[in-house]
This record gives sequence, C-alpha cells and structure tokens, in this order.
Amino acid sequence: MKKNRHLFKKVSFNRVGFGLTNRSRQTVMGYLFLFPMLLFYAVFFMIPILFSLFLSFSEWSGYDLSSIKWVGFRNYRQLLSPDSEFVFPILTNTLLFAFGSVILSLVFSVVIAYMITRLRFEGFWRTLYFLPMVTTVVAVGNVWKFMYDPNGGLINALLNALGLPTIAFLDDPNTALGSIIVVSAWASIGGSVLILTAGLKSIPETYYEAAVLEGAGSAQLFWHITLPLLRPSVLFVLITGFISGLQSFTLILVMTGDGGPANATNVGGLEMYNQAFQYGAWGIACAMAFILFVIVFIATVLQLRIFRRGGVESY
Amino acid sequence: MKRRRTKAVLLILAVALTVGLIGCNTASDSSSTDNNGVVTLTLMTHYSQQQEKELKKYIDQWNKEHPNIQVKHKSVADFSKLLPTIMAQQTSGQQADILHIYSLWGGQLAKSNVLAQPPADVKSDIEANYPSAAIKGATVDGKLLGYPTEVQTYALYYNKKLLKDAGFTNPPSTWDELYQVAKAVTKRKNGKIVVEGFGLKSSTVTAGVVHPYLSLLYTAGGRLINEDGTKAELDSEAGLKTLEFQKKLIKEKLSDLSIDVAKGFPSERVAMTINASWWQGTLKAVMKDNFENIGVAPIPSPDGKSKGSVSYSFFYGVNSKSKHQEEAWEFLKWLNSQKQENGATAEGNFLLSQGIIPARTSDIEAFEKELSTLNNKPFIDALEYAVPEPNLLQGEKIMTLLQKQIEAVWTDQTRPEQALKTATEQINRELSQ
Repeated sequence: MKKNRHLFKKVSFNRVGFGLTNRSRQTVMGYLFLFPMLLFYAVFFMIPILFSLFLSFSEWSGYDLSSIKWVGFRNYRQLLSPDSEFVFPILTNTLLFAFGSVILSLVFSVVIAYMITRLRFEGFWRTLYFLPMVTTVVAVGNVWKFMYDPNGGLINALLNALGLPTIAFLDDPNTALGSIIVVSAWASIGGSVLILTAGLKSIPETYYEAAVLEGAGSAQLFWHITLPLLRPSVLFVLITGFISGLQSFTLILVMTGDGGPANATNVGGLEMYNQAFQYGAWGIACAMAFILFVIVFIATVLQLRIFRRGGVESY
Repeated sequence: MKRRRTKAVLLILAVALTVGLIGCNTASDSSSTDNNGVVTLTLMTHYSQQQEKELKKYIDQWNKEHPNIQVKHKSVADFSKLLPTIMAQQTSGQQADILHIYSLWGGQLAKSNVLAQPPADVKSDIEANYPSAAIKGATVDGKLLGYPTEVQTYALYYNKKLLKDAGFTNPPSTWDELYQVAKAVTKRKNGKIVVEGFGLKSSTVTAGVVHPYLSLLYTAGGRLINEDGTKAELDSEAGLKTLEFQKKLIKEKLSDLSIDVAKGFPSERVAMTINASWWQGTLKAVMKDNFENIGVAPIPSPDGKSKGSVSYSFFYGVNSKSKHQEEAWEFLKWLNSQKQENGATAEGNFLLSQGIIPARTSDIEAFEKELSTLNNKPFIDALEYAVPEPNLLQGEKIMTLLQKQIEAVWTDQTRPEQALKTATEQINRELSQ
C-alpha cells in the first residue's frame, strides 16, 4: 500500500525538466499541438472578423488601407433608416428566403427520410436524394434556370401542354423569390435526409411496438413518437439550414444575376458583395454583415430554446 | 526521451508548415526590374481567349522593338471580376502597372488615387485626337486619366426582313413610328409572343436595362443628372414620357420581358432593339449569312428630329503605385498614338479586329473603307452627340438604383411617376454623401 502510494506520487508529481508536472506538461503539449490550428483560426477567421467589425464603423473604398476613415455609427444609421433599402426589401427577402427554403426542405426531408427507412434499398434512395448536395451550386442554378425559362423551359413546356399559361418564374418579381426558394430547398434535401435518417434510426423500435400494441395507427406513430423523438435532429437541420439560408449568395447570383427584377431576389449576401466590390462601400458592407450576424444569433438562440426538449434521452 | 524528441520534431514541423502556408503567395503582378535593367510591366484587361490572342500580337511587337521595357498581359476573363481584382491587388501591393478601366469606375478609382495623372504630352495628344464622348469617358472631375480605347454608342438594331414582311421598308425615326412598326411586326401564337416587336432588355446586366432607357430619354431632351453631377434630373416630363412609352409597349404586349433579346434577336424572333456598337461583331458571328438582314439606324426620337444616345467607354490608365510610370506611359503612347504600316495605331487595329469602332479620330479615318458600312454610320455619328455615362464616385450605384425602378415599372410593381420620384430621391441621396 505504502509502495503504491509512493508510486502514485512518482507518477503524479514526476517533474520532467522546466519545473513542470506531468499534468502541466500534458496541458502544454496539448496547446502546442493545437497552436497551428489556433494560428490558422486567428489569421483566417478572428483577424478578418475583427477587421470587419472595425470597418463597419468606418468608411473605406477598398483600395488603400491608409484611407480608412472612422465614422462611428453612421453606416448602421444609414442602413436602418426608413429610406434605406436594406430593411426592405433586402433583409425581408433574406429572411423569407431562409425561412422558406428551410421549412420547405425540412417538411420534405422528414417525409422522405421516414419513407426511406421503411423501403428496401435504403442506400440507393439515400444516394439518389444526396446527389444534388454533391453537385456544384452553379450547375444546379443553371439547370433550374433553364427549366424555368419561359421560352422553351421544361416546366413551362409541361404547363403549356396542360393548357396552362406560361409563367415567367424568374422575370416576374411576384414569383422570382419563390422559384429560387424551391431550388434551394430541393438542393438541401439530401443533407437533411442524411441527418434525419440517423435520427430516425436512433429511435428504439420498442416505442413503436408498445404504441402498436396500444392500438396506434401510422399517423399517430409519426406524430406522437417519431416527431418528438426526432427533435434534436430537426433542431440541427433547422439551425444549420437557417444559417446557410441567411448567407445564401451563389444560387441567387447564378439564377437572377444582380438581385433579380426590381430587387425581388436581392438578399443580404449579394448586397454585401455589391456594396464592397462594385460600389466600393466596405463600411456599409461590413455593417450589413454584423446586422445579419445579430439576426442569425438571435434566431439560433430562439431555435435552441424552442427545440431544447425532445430526443430519446428526454423520454 | 526518444518519444519526447519525436513529439517535439513533429510539433516544430507542424508550426513551420502552418506558418509557411500562411506566408505563401503567388507570383507578384507588380512591375519589376531585373539585374540587367530590363523593366517588366503588367497590363491587366478583361480581354481573354481570342481577344487576348489578338492583343498579344501587338504586345509581342512592342516587346521585340523595346527589349528594355517588356510588357506582359494579365487577363481577368470574367469582366465582373475585373474591378474586385483591381481592388484586391491594390490593397495587397500586387497591383498591375497598366489597367484597362471601364469609365463607370472612374469616379471610384479617382477618389482612391488609383490612377496616375498622364504627362503633358499624353494629355495634349488625347485632347487633340479623340472625340468629346471619348475624352469625357476618361475624365473625372475635370482630370483626364488615360487613353480612351473602346467607345460604345447606342443605336437601333432592326431586322430588315421582319419589317419588310410587315410592310415597312424603312426603320422608324419617331416613337410613334416605332410603336406602329412594333405593332405590325409582333406575332402571337396561342397567346404567346413568337415574334417580339421591340426588345426592351438587351442583356441581364444593369446596362442592358438602363442604357436603352437613357438613350430614349436623351432623344426626348431629358437628363439623368445635371452638368456638375450634383443632382438627379430624372423626375421630368421627358423622364416620365420615356418610361410611359416603354410601359405602353409592354402593356400592349409588343415587348415581352421573358424573351432573352440576346438570343431572340439573332434568331430573328425580335424585330427591333437598342444596343451598343460592339454587338455587331457578336451578331455577325452568330447569324452568319442572316446578318445581312440586320440594319442599324439612329435611335428614334419623339419628334423625329432630335438626336440622342448613350456612350460608355474604356480607357488605359497607369497605376499610381507603379514603380515604372514613365515606361508605362511610353508603352501606352506607342499603343495608342504611333501609326502602324496601315496608318492606324496598334490599338485601332486591335479594336477593329474585334468589330469595335476605334475611338481615335485618325484610326476612324484610316479605316474609312472598313467602317463605311451602313451599319457603322449611326454609331460613328452618335460619337458627336452621345451623352457619356456618369463616371462619378457613385456611378455604379446610381445605375443600379435606376435599373431597379425601371424594372419595377415594367413589372407593375410601381407607377412611372412614383418610380422616377423614388429614383431621383435615391440618386440625390447618393450624390449628397
């Protein structure tokens, strides 16, 4: 016993050069191994974010770092003023796009994931739905743009064949944003199906067996067992989808160019890019980025609070 | 001990690799002087593929004749990336010596002191040898910034065959005639337009919407902004008349916004549209023999007498951060003013090879035969009265603000009066900042 205690002391308090304990040495080694990644994070993430924050209170054309001029809250006041187009239509479009594509994608993903787990050849169906995720956004955007074309596009050809009038999906401000929401939702179904399938598989069969014994039908099984226990997966899909939706840029640029007809598809990401790289208004662009960041943060916190209960562990 | 040493070595390697990757950069675009005193300049343009190949012929000629000053061309193939590339390179110290600038960016670049002032002899040469539209395009706040290159003016493109089939041998010269011709030419099938009388949107970029509108506005005696660029003047009778005329064409289904004019006109599904002179080259390449059906006329005006058009241009400027500005201006002088064997400059020869009308007066004279086609005449004539795009600091933003209001009227989101009022307020707000 005495021997073991000595041994324990030797292991715990083994001083190996530099006056460090074994535990301290391990901590230092851990940080040293993390250092390259932390350096990378600092250079490519923290410094740009802090610089953007500084720029959001400045005026800068983007050409010469020595010409940055501090202007305080002017950029934020300009963006949030009643005359500004930032709140309406840009922020409104951004939120509509994010909500629309996430909700649409989630509804279909839940149904598709549920169906896939009950079909044969699960792997094949999952692969099929995942394919849009591995296709570049530019390719997806261009193919759908062609399909939406009012002169020779597939969708209008079908509509005309059914005797319905042509719809200028991307040229009409009333339909342009909705048309892109559909594409975005379609493209993100695959990723959501993967997450939700994993969530579905984690639900023990015993719950379903017990419910069936109690006389529950398919709909009841879905509403009262599947959905509540799927909450953590749904939360993850919602949060990541919403954040991605709020930052959307490429798909809209490819499909409707510079903000669509009458700014109908102009969203935060696109406007930030234009403000910085076309108009040379970096201060405004950075201020937009931080306002969007606050919105994303609030939305994420709200979603976490609403969906915090749920999952197998809660029941 | 051995394990500790291995861990330490791995850690050092990891740090070195990270720092090394962070420190990596590509070859600098900045000019350089080698040990033999040879200066290498970088010329950055948006010309790529066939255009770049053609331009390189003249760069190679210069390089052969001037072994001490070598020029290398850097292409930014996607035009929409040219300004962001200039911006990023300027900040990072990797700027090109010579830039090919779109005139609309002149205000931004001048405010940020990106471009150097040309020497006195270059200024005199430009003022003496270029038309006013070209000089204005390369001038910001009264300061000339470089050699004008392409100067594009707008005119009415029309399909002679479609007009003839509808009983018209001449293109319209008034707005009423334009309306009548469009009405006669437009064909529908099952309620869908199969031949569009007048194409309103010549391309998906801002210019495709705004330039045709401004061209019509100027024929009606209207103005976008006042002489000193401090106030918008859109909210006028001429502005309203122009927008209402465009709206009328859409309402009576003589124009269909869903038809891509860039594809529809070459495939002879659009009878008339307003576009710039460069489009002739594209149409010729796409339409081949059918190009003989295409005619060009001055833009119709309300009374058939007044003239109006828009011009936009490019110019070569020298970077103010270039270490070899003198050499850069030497090259530009050679490219833009020294005559080649055929009496035209290298730049003039290059532009003509691309189907673009050169800006320099002596080049237009040297190419009198080549440019004497009927289709070129309206564009050349327009050089004298075309109103250049405003190359103010807020130039790009102003164009976009106007584009969105025009589109809002076209798509019934707002009335023409409200659109012009909103556009004027928004533009005035930008101009006051």
